[in-house]
Amino acid sequence: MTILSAMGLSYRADERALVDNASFQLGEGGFTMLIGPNGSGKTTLLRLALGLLRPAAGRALLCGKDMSALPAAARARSVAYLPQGRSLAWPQPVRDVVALGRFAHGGAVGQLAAADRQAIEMAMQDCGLTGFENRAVDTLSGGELARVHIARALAGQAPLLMADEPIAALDPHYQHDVMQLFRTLSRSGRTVLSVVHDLGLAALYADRLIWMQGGRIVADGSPADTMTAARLRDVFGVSAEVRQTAHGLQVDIHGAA
Amino acid sequence: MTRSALILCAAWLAAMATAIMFGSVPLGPERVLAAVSGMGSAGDQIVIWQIRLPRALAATLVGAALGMSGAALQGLLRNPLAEPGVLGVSASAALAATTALYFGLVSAGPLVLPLAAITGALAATFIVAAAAIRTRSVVTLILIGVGLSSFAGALMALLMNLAPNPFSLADMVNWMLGTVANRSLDDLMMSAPFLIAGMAMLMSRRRGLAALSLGEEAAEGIGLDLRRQRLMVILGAGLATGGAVALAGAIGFVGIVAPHLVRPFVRYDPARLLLPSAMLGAVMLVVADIGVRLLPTDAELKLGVVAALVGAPVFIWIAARRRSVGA
Repeated sequence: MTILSAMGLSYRADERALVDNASFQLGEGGFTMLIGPNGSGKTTLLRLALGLLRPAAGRALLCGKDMSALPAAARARSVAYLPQGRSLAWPQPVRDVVALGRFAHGGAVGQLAAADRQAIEMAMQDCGLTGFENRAVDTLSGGELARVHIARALAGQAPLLMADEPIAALDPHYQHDVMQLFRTLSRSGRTVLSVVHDLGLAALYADRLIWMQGGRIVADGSPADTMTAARLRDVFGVSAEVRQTAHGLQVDIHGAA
Repeated sequence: MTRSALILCAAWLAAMATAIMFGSVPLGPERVLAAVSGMGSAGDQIVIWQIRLPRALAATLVGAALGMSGAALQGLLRNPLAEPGVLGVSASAALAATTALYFGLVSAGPLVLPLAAITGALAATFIVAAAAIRTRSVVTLILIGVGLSSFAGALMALLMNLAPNPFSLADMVNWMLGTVANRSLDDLMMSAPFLIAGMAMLMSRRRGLAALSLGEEAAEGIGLDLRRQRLMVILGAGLATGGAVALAGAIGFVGIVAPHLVRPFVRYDPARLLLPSAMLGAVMLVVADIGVRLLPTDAELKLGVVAALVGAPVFIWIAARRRSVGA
């Protein structure tokens, strides 16, 4: 079943096409990564697909319904979104921040229903935040904070999760940790679409790669099919070697091409 | 009701009782009770019903409106230093009122001054709200407010510069300093609808303020209609502030200090912050006004002056200690 369907999405700013006629579909489950160099339009495409930006052309459909026509709360119940910005305005306790994930379900701090509390508990458990409930978010490390944001996104229990560079600024341990968590989620039926910059992690964890360059989707397929030295040179301008190993597909980048 | 709300409620009642009992003629509890139940002397009744109670209620309403507007704007703009003054609403209201004083329109009736202030506040609110619909950026919004505020200040300075005589200059200055002295129940009835409508609008959008602590993009992601949120909070704060300025003139810093003091007690939740901020704002102004009335100075101190004397250093202290998360 198709969950999300992007059809010919385009977006312009100051006469420049940031996203140009991009189409893709996401079915149930699976871990899809959106990769491409800086400024290739990944974030813009994510926002278009979410209905947060109005496309110049094309449509995004969520289970067959036009995304931009959906009320904000209905959209949020179907798609969880993890934007790049991580700053939190106030030093709130971890649990209260995660509870905001129940916003579209009517839950708010101080008036949570049993279902809300259960969803929050599960999301915190999935992200290894048990025991952190009452910690103020400004006392957390970068990795812990990233987990709080992910838990917040999971607490809404939306079938589709869209994340924009969820592992930026995390150390390798947490990067793999988050990637493993996303893969586990995608195996349990959630659809995950994430912008990722680390090509090594993309090769290791993704079920499917959508490659972007200059606002257009230039390739779409499994890492084994699309991750080639030639494409890495074309799209990212790097000379690289791609090898199949016992640990999976390995990408060695030797330098700028 | 949480425990902090109960404590604030008790503090407000105590402050009100003190405000009614003390003054140039101290009234004991039995005389107050007699007057309130309509049995005391005519003099006592006038002192309580026409002087002390309206004055204390005016301080309550103004403090509550400023406290809640400050809390709401801080939530909306994600900045602990935001307050009604920041968006230019207070200055524009003050400008409109000074204009009415300058052209002598005030002689037309007692309602001219408050009506002018509310008109000025609403005009500024519409400008800022229009900007809020068009721009995505909070910084742009704040800068437009700062610009508006400075411009209104410049026009006010121009009016004072051109003041035809010392009396009208004194009128304008007095009004700008902010006070709740000599307010009648009629003055209260005039401003109260604006104050209450504004605060009701803010209360109705409090969940959205909680969502915004994640940042605007993530708030949209969890299902907040960002434009509507901005529009409603700015309109609500504009109405409440306009009503407050109409009633008492320009009183600053309550909107910054009250939410800041309350915030730790509601675990920094912007939604639960609104009501206690309003209550603390009310208590602060009622208490400050008691101080103003009882201090033995030659000329009575203006409430706005005292608020600024206490508030400005607290503002600097908050700015210096500011911490944000993962910025």
